[in-house]
Amino acid sequence: MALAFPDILLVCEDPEFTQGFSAMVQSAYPDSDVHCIHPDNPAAWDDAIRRTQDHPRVAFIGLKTGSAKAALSLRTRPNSKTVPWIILLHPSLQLQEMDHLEIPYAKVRINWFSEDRDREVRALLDFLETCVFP
Amino acid sequence: MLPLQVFTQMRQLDILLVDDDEVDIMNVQRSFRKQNITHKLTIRKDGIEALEYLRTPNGPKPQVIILDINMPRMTGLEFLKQLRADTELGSITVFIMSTSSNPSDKAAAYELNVAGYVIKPLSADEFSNSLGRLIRFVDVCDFP
Repeated sequence: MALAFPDILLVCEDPEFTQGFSAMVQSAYPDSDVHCIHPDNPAAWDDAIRRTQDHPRVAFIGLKTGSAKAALSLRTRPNSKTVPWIILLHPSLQLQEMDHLEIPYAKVRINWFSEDRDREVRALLDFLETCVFP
Repeated sequence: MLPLQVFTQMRQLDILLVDDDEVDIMNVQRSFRKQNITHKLTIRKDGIEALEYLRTPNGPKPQVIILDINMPRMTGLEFLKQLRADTELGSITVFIMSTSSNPSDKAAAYELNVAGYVIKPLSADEFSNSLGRLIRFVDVCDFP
């Protein structure tokens, strides 16, 4: 069942990843909006929420420990609880580093610097396209 | 839409399917065979059975649960609330696969931190494709 691809909010501290991932999403799904904020700028969250009010199918994504922590703090904001979250694990991040965060979200390992990257991102995008959102 | 990719599976995971519908269970099993998915699949037919299975002392702890919403005795959402409140089981990754497109079901499921919500397609081929996409996604996920 092909559905409209969800708009994405990317919480990410790595500009190379942000640019590359956004480009891959928008190449595959030109209608999708990838809105990026840096985890050091949580005030941008409110703006992001406002921007996405009319497009509630949003996947929010974090990266690295700092981003994951920022994402979790954002999770407590109003309007955020019915939004699906997927954590993107940076290649440098060991899963054990996130154990204490106790996050039940899916944690995707994107090997950004390997030839597996395209397959991994594609698996993520294909799945998001299959999902429905509130 | 991107074309379907070749299935490449790197490790074996334990997947728990909680669904009471025999046809849907058969569809999942058929899809696993058709797409050469070799993850271990365990089936429980409602939330009460699933919780009993998960709370078996020293029992298996699946990495992934695929959960239906409308089931007798205990619905998927009631099961999910109990799962998330359980200190041992609360962090298991859960995907909803249901015929329910009720907005309140979707909102409640995401509020309980499901990793995705997929509407069960009616045709067997579409069902298999959707499940294949879900499993390919699971295959790029990390689990403790």
